[in-house]
Amino acid sequence: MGLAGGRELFHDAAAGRVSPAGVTELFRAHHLELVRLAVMMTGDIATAEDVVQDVYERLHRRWPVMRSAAGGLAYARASVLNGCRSAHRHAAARRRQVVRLASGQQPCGDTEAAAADRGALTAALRELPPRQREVLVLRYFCDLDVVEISQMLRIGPSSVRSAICRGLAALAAALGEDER
Amino acid sequence: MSQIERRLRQEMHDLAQRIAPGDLRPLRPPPPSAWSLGHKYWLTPAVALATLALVTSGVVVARNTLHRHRSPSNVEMLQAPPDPAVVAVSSSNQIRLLAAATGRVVKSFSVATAGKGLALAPDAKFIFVVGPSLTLSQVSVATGQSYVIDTGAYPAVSPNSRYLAYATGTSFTQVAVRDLASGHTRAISLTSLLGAQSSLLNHGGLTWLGNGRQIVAVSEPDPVTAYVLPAAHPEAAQPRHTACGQQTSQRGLCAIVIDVASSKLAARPIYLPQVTVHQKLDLISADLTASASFFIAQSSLPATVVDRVRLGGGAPMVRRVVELPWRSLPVAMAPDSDRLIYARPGSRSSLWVATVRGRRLARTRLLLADSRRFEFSLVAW
Repeated sequence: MGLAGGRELFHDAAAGRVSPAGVTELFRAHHLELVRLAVMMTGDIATAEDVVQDVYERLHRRWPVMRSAAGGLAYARASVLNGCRSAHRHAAARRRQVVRLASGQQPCGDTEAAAADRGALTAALRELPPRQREVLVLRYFCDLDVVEISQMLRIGPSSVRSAICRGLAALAAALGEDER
Repeated sequence: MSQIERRLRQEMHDLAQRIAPGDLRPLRPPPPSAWSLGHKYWLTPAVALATLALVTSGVVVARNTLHRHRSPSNVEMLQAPPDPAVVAVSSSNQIRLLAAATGRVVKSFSVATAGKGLALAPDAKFIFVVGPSLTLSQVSVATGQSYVIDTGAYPAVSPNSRYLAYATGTSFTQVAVRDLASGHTRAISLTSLLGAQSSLLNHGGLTWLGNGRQIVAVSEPDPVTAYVLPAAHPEAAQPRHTACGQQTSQRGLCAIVIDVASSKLAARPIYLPQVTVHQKLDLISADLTASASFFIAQSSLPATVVDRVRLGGGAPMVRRVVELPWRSLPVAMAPDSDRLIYARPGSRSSLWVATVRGRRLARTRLLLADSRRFEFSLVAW
């Protein structure tokens, strides 16, 4: 499931550093998984693809300053999450603008995303605050443990646990179910 | 693990499985200049100094050259891979080649045009233009010489620049495919598919797909053909409401896919359920980064949008690519599908080029503005 078990392809064995070919190889190997992660966050395939493409180009540009090859995939995941956060902010602003211009008309949605958006729980997930959503996706989609999530998001393990609990409680409340 | 945790895990897994590898756009390679200097940090100051020297000397040389005479020709520039580099823009009596990056006029030709189609070959060696009386002409970019090929409209050049497709026939219900090397032309009549009172002339929609083996055409009812066609084809005088050209199907917009791979052309209709028929439609271009995708624009209120249509084994998939600013009209998509040219009408119309990113336009730049000497009508990229 998800990104678990992905190989670290970032490493240039000869140089002991990150290489541009390694970045390409990493994204070739994990393109689908990274897009799926972005879809979990954004709920929109087109936006997810754009986010991953942006991250790919950015990492390609920044490869000289990435001395550590070990965290390539983790870095890519974290970058995708950051990109999703930005996309979410832009989308919110855009929605407000479109709604104002169209006097209440809803903007046309992505047809594939609409088709894919059948899960009530995943729909409720996208209503959560960004931090809780990220933590839940990393925990239950990427199968990362609390320590790995805390390192990736640069927050304390207790904050991760707290966000998981709050997120699950909010999901249960949204669905009108008991958390247990 | 609680029930909601199990359910969340299962739903996310199900959602992920719905996204198949074949559904994704391939990753575009990043610009090579982004990492060309790599880890050679010591090169940076040297490159900066060299760039400064080059720019300074370039300015001096350019000033001297401008004082003496204008540069005679820019044909050499076109010998480079022209893919997204140049854009052809026509007015009623002139065609200009512009550098897409800067808007600079690379070359211009005095050719009368009729506003029924303009195509620039991907190798930028030829321009195809429809003149008065619907004469389709081929213009050499290198020499500027032109000659008439046929009667036709809406030319479209294949991705390998070898074939030219255009609408032709008595009532413009045929599509012809011409081998530009040998001059051999094949044609297929779409009268039975389009139905009476429809033609390919009224809409302006012919585009090649990236695979170079298929052409897509969109038709709509044509009041002129309603008079011409019954005389030429009495059997087609009665319009069939199910015909593709009538655009009355409940299944959505009807487009015709023409297969050119075999010696005999074959055509079939496809329906795009997500595309609203009553809106103004235009085929923009193919998506050359994919084998079987094309772009279609819909102009309506409150926004004009560009959608990508992907043909596959099953039903065509339509996905929103970009929404344009108010009163903007999309006119051409870059061969790389990453940039869009759109027009802003007004007292002084203008052409703008922008990067398509996340359904929005970024890095918007003015490409060309109407002037008394040149009022643009068609654009080809």
